Amino acid sequence: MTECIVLERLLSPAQYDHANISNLKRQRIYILPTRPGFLLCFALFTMLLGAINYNNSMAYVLTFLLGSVYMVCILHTYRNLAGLIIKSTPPKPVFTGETAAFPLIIDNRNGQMRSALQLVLHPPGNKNRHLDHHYHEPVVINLQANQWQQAKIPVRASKRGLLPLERVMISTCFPLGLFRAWSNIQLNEKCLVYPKPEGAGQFPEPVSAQEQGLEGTRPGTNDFDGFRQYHPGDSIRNIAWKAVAREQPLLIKRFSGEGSHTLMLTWDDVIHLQDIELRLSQLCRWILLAENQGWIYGLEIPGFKTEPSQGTLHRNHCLEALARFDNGHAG
Amino acid sequence: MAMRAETPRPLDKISLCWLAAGITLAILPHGLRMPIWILLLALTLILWRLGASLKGWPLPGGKYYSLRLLQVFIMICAGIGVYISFHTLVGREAGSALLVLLAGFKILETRNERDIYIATFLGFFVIVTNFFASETIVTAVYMLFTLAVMFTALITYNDQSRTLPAQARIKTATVLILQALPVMIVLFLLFPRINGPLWGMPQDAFTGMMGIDDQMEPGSISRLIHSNNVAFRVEFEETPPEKSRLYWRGPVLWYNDGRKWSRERVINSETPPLQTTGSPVKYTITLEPTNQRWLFALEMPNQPPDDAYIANDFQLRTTNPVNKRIRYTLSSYPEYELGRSNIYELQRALQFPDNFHPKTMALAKTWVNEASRPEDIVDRALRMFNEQNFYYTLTPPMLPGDHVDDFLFDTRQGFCEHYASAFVVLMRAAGIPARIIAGYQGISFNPVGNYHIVYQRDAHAWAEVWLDGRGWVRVDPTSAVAPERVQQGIGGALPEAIIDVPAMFGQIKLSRDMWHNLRNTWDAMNNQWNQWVISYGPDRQALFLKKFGMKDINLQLLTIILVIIVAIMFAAITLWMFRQYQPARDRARILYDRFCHKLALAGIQRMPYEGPVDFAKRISTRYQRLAVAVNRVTGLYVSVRYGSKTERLPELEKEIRVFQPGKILQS
Repeated sequence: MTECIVLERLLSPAQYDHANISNLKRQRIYILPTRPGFLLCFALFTMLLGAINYNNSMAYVLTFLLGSVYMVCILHTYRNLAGLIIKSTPPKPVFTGETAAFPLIIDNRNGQMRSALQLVLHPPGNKNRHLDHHYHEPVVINLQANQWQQAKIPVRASKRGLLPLERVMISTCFPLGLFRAWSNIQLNEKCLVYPKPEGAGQFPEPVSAQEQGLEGTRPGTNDFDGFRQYHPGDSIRNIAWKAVAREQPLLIKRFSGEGSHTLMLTWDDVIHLQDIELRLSQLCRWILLAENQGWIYGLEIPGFKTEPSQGTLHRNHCLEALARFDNGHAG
Repeated sequence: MAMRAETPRPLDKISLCWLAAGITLAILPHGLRMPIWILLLALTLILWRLGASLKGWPLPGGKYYSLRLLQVFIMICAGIGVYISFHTLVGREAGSALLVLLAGFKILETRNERDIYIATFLGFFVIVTNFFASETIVTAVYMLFTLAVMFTALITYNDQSRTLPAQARIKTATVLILQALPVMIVLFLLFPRINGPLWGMPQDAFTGMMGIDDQMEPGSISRLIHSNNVAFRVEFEETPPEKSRLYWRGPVLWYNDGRKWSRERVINSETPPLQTTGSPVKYTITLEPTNQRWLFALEMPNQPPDDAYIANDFQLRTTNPVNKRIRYTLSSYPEYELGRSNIYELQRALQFPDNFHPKTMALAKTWVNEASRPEDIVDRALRMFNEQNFYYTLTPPMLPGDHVDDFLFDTRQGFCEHYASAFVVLMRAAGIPARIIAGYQGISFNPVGNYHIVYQRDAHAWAEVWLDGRGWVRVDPTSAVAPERVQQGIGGALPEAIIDVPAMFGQIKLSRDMWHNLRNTWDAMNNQWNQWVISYGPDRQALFLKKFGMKDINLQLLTIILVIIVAIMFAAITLWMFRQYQPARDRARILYDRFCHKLALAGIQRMPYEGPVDFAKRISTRYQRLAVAVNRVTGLYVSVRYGSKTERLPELEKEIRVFQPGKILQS
């Protein structure tokens, strides 16, 4: 079950009774003046001295009004974050070197709108963060009353495997920018990172269906053999589009296996490459190519084996195996 | 610590427009008070920045290096210009001028977050310095509006993705101000006030005040007649004396240099005895700042207020200039005798310059020869004003030569200062000690606030002569020419000179009355404002605290009380802000939420992206035991809420009441 984080709220109400949320974690909100906020403090002090010195009532009035707005601003900035519910949904897998996008759902279950919420990966601590290619601009979202929105937190996937979502900082300076309220969200979400598809290796020799002795039972690509119903994961290129145009249900064109390429990608095919990551990359590239060509392919690596097949589901299955490949198996 | 994750955001067009509008509003009233080039230059700089943002005009800096030079050149010229205009770069007025120019230059170079805030804070300072010059209700309301515009500018800038419409931003700014107002009022009332300046004030802190001076020459009083400004306000404890007795004594002028009358240094400040008869009149005066060292009092006060003394010529004087509005209570005796004066004083009251007023001297000599008693000579002079062709006018002809001779024997048209001055010269020439009193004569009643007003236009000058046995006696030569001036006030004597009703209201009596009524209401409001806002200082605060039983309270305790009250107010604001915002839910929705809650307790959560139908479908496939009940409830809910079949609401309610997913799943 996905985790939910609710940002701490003053006068913590039982308003989530009907919100069908069970595992709610509370998270503290911090608030401090921004640089302009500190500067205004100093300006107000100067104005107060002026008011006392000149004994000028309206100068007192203005100083006190600005001071009161300053203090009220704390509550407004705080309220902009308070009570938000944040949860994550699983991100789409990416290839190494790409940028993963972790979708966070920011849910405002309250009649107040929230403006200018900034979400950024935490900690972007270093000073030269603009030069750092891991740094991404904060995501800014605005929420209407009783509205939720998805914010995608970009994280650069530099390594194959499972990429965890680091702490995310949600912050706001709204309305006056004199204060900054922020909270750190730690959600247990991971993104699958496939190897980078690369490597110049030739395809291993395809094995024809006949040679394997699996006559006709495997779908081929050469000779048209009739229709069957669509199943999720079937290759788009085999859909009978003409039938779709006639508003018939989705049908898949069947081809007889004769002459179709059946490919078994094995660890031995890439054993000549020194680095394990390079081997996985090569396999990854082959899988993508094979899927693209409409071939039937299977994968066999230490700790994982799949029968030859095709389609997006099959492809993702294979890629996931590569992503999760445990280096311990290689030896 | 707060991580400053944001990059410096540039200023967008809309925020800039709001900021420019706020700064323009802030500098406008200042600018109209200063040499006009300052305002025009500041506005040009703001316009330049707006043009750069909206029309792509070049800005100084970057590739436009020559423009940067131009900017520096303008800055230097502006500094020199301020020095030429004010002969200084410090002090209130020059400082304000520099602040206005600085605001203009700051807007010109505003590019990012830092600049926006510095420009805004500069705007706050411009508003404060403007309050040093004007503290009226109108200024206060105007500046509140200006603040709202400036806050809107900040909100616009902080609404990073520009999703809020203008009215929402204005509303947020207004809410901020409205929530802050009560806290501000408490702070204003309870913040410990201390007396006196913390450090020296600039010399020009109080200038440009208008009123009675302690020097008098032809035209110095008549120039006040067109002024509708208030000199002071009076609250009588009982009914005021009749109008002809309302002489408000100001400076006493002894010395004549042939044209100008002036006060002489007081040698003897010992208060002479005052013999009074009858009952006193008690009243409280709220004097507008004059920046002079005297107060006005109804003739004749017997006791000075605090921080004041009565000089030997019965002038009420203060040790410090009256540079803010003050209030003082006095008792005056309309019937009095000033019976004692020493020989030096009487000699000074006979002074006149050599080789002046030969014709007047000659006339006085003939009178002395014809009559022996001083009283007769006084009568003679007054009869002359009354019986011969003397006119009381606001616009007398110019008197380029000897102004007393020319007036008495030639033009014979004059205002009160002409009559008082000629009369005193005549008396002195005849050997009767005499002096001039400058002050005000008359009052106007404000029925709205139930107090009286003395306007600047009530300014007047009269004389006192020394008569053996009677002492100093008031003689008003103007009353010999125009008795209505004293009996009905200046409006009775010179109605055409008083322009207190705009022409469009003056034609019909009804509209004139309406105008007077409005003006009285407005003045009463101003009076309250002056009493409770502008003059709120240590004394008023003590008075205010006394009302709540807090007498002689010390600063520490007051501070603690202030902090507690402010804390309570913030708690109240917090409660109000964080009150339950229940989404507007209809009955069906409430029931459906209850249904979802029951499912959630059983471990089945509805995802935020799931509609009711999708949710039901998911449950039906995963938990087949629940399928029937869930589908029935969902179907009912959809038909009630989206199909407007409200008659099925009770059915839905019943279904949800008996729905127990936990039990069904366990069975």
